[in-house]
Amino acid sequence: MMAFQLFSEKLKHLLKQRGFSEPTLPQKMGIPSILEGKNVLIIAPTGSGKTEVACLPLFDLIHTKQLAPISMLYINPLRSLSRDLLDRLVWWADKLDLEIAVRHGDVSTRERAAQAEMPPHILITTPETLGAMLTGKRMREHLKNVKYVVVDEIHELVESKRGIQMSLLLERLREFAGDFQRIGLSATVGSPDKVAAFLGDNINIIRAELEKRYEISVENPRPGIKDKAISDDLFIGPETTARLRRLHDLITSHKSVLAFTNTRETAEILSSRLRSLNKELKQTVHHGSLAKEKRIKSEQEFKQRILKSLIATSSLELGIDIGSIDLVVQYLSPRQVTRLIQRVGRSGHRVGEVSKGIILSGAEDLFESTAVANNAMEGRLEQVKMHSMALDVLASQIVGIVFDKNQANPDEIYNIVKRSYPYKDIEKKDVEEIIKFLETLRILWINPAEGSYSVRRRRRAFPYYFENLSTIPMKKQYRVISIIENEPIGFLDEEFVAEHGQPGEKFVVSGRAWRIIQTDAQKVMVEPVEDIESAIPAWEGELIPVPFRIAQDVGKLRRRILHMSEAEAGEKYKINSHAAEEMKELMRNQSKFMIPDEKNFLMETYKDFIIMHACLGSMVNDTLGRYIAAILTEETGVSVNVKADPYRIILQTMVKPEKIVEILLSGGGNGGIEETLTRAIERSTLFKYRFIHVARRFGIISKQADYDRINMSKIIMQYANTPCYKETLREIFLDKMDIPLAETVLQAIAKNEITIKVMEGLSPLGELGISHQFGDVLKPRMPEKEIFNAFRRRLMLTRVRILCMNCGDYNLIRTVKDMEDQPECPKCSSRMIAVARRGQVNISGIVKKKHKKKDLSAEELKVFATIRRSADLVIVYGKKAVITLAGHGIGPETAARILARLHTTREKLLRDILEAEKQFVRTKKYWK
Amino acid sequence: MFVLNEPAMVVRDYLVIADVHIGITKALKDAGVMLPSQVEKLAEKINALKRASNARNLIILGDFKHEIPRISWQERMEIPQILSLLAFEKIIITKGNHDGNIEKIVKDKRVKIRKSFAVGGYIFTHGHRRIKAGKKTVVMGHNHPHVKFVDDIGTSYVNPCWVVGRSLKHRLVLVPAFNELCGATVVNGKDAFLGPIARNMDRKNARVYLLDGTYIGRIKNIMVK
Repeated sequence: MMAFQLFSEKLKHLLKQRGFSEPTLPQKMGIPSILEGKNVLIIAPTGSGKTEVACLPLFDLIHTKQLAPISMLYINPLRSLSRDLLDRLVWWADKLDLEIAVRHGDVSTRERAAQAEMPPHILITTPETLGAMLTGKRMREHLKNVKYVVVDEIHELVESKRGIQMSLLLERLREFAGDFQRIGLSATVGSPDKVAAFLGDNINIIRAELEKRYEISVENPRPGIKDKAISDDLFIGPETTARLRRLHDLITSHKSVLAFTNTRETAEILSSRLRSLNKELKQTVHHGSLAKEKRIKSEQEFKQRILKSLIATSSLELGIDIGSIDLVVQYLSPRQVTRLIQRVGRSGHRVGEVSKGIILSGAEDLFESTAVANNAMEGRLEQVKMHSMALDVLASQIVGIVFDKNQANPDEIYNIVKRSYPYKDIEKKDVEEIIKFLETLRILWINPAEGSYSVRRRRRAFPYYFENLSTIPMKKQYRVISIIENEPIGFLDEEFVAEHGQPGEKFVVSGRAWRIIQTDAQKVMVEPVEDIESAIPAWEGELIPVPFRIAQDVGKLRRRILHMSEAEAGEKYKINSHAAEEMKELMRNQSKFMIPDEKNFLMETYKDFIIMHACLGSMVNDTLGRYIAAILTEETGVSVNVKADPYRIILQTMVKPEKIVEILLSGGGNGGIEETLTRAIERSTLFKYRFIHVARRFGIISKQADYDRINMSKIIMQYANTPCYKETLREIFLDKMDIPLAETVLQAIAKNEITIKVMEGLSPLGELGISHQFGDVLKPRMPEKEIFNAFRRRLMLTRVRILCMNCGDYNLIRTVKDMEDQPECPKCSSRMIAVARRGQVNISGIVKKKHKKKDLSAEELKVFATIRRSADLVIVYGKKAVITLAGHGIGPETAARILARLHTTREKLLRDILEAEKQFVRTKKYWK
Repeated sequence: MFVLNEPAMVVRDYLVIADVHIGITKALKDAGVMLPSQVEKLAEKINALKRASNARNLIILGDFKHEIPRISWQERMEIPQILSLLAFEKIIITKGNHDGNIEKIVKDKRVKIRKSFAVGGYIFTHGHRRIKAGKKTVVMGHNHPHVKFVDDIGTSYVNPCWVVGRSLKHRLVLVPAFNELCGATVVNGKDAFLGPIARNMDRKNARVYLLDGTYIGRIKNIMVK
């Protein structure tokens, strides 16, 4: 009530007209402060009407004060949302006699020219377009009138280079427009103070999410008998089937369900398998690689309840309006608390409603899901990680400042830059280094003046500035093609190919392991391999890192769960009973070795693997792994394979584990792992790849560069120790590693606060690590075993034609598993029973013809010989022969070879059959 | 004779370098990569070698400039500029395939432009054309020789190197390129050697040395795929 009373009579009237009588919580809390002219950051869940909180009071102010256009900028990072926003706001603007318009890269030139002529009061735009507008003479005049700036979805911007750029842009705008009121709109985040500082000075933080409650449970559905049957049909393991069925039941028992996965691949597979399970269920996928039209269509259909469910990736985390949702399902561990909160926060939007979320977890990531869910309910989110002092963004914005001023001296530039929060610690010499670097690149001109100098632009400055307004790297995708079928099997991201694209490397995509044969500009040619142990999952790059704290909580959980009953664990951690059972079972088995927790590490050896279990999270483990590998490489001169996940570091090496312990013990002492890591990173392909992107943002490499004519390593050498080089390193260290925390861990190891026990493996947790089944998988835990079981079921259920060679009258189709151990003809009691394919209808005729001593054609003779041979095998080997002959592409010749081997168990026989089948498929495919 | 860790050698009081490719930055710019002018850096590196070796004269084994067949605007500026920065009494350029019309932009009196140039038992040339060498050791550029290593995991490394060998009548030395930016001939792979002189070399038995003096072996024993 109070909040709306503060509005002008006109707006109060309009509110009544639209039927708004009671303000929502964000409105109640936000409107008064905004009307008072305070800078505010409003934190509320996505879809809770934050836009109106900011816009209604500001529109009212513009209206009552009769401000000149452009009075207000509304900056939204998502261009595709601008139209939605306009539709929502245009009614209010119209009624208040205000002009409102959208401006971004897709708006026509004519429309933009019109805006320069007749500027609107309110302009909805993107950060990049603000960067472009500042350089236009007429637009700049209009921008001088700006009194209010709203930054929407600021939590999306704060961790990216786009955001850093926007922060500098706002300071440039301030040079023209003077101080303006700043309003930030954010979803729930871990460090509101940092986000506020990022927005500007003197920001009041308004947390309008307080009444929001989260109810999150973790489920590991128990596979039932029904699931076993379904899993055969859908080519997935029973565990996955159980999750799939649970998801299906959840969708049908709710009105609108949003299901989130961690990768595009999982979303695709999940949706397609759901379709196989139930064609009637209205659901579809939503992810970033889909065509825009398709995405928009599914968003609208979901909103109109035509679709009951969307299976989405983070593409739906942003503020796309998709109506009200009564349940959010997270498929497999969400990995981070903030992500879980933002995803689950999409449900239950009405005041007082509870946001409901269920994590469907596999046996492997149960611990992690539980840790994330519990942290979420206790409201402990991750801290915001900001790019500070990004040098490439700084370079292009220095050029922007030079445009604004026409001629600038280093002090002026330094003072503007320093006002931006991400650059608060910058020194003047840093700014000058960039200016000088830009001079060597012929972008700026340095004009010496007495005691100092001034900077002007050169001809290259314009194309450079505009080419680099977008800080989002253009990411190419490579098609993966299997040489066996000569068919595309999936996609790989550019960064993945840059890092792992060499021939011989193995990776997992579409649920299988592949070896790279060749990589060219568009595609990666591969062949299938069985060896899933050393393959890297191709979706690795899509996975967000698991934070240190979650990994530590997993360690504690591993220890604690053993001493709790299932009921206690279920109650305390909000997990279902099967989940508690699975967790306890895993730890019981692990305790036969040792349970690695947050303070006690286990290092086990298995074949040529050394697996160090350390609950330190993705980044610390990656840092330590690279550090160990760097030291080993430097000492032995051989490159070392290293792989890290949030809970272990896996090395493939011949050195003794004691050597690794020694490296870890000495690393903490001198306190400098950064130097070693720098040397190692500089040589890596990751560095090369990242360098290209940074170099583009410095204008060193043009977007049309012809990479065939360039030797990148040599170019990189030329730029050693320049800002471009430093920025590449800084970016990698921030995105991929956590050096300070890794050093803390090394110190704790040196002080014996963390213990490392060396053992021979393989423990259950080690097995999870090397089969790389952890996290995001739609494959059973032991793929071989599962594949084998599926194969056995199929073989046993195969229906074959059975024929008595003696009388030829016993001729029918039977299921392999129902066959007697030593088959006999029920008619004539002969044991000469032949096995043929179901389709061989005429064999009975051939046998009878033969008995009547009639002449057989050459073709018929061949068939007769084959079936007689099969009958010989059945006499000698009985049912075993029938099973073998039921194999795909296995004739009597092959069967005789297989059966002649001694098989102590049925399983060994089946394995040989499986091998023979594979052989058949392989040779057949190559023949084609 | 070879200068340790540098693509340069000293014969009597001559410092010898090959393939400087002034103006290559323009070619790279056309390919989409911007590089600052290298003139000062290269000149400083050559002068440092002079100070360390006490050589008084300089032999450049051809491809002093880069652009073919024209002379770029940049070369017109940078060739005289680098020459003025080099502190030698005499500078001999044995003309390479990239050096067409170089006479037109070199006005410096200290500079002599030749096909080849003999000192003692050595004869210096670029290597893209036959010369009469007699029994003298031919020292040539043109190839930018590199040697390739592949480790167990399949990672490969390519390093500049010296190649020393024989052809029928004389000994032969292939000098690594002075400019790090130009392309490479991998000597222990499939790449063909460039120029008639190098092609007549007994390649299999030629020896490969790294710039730090490490003797890697005869080419036939170190072939990689």
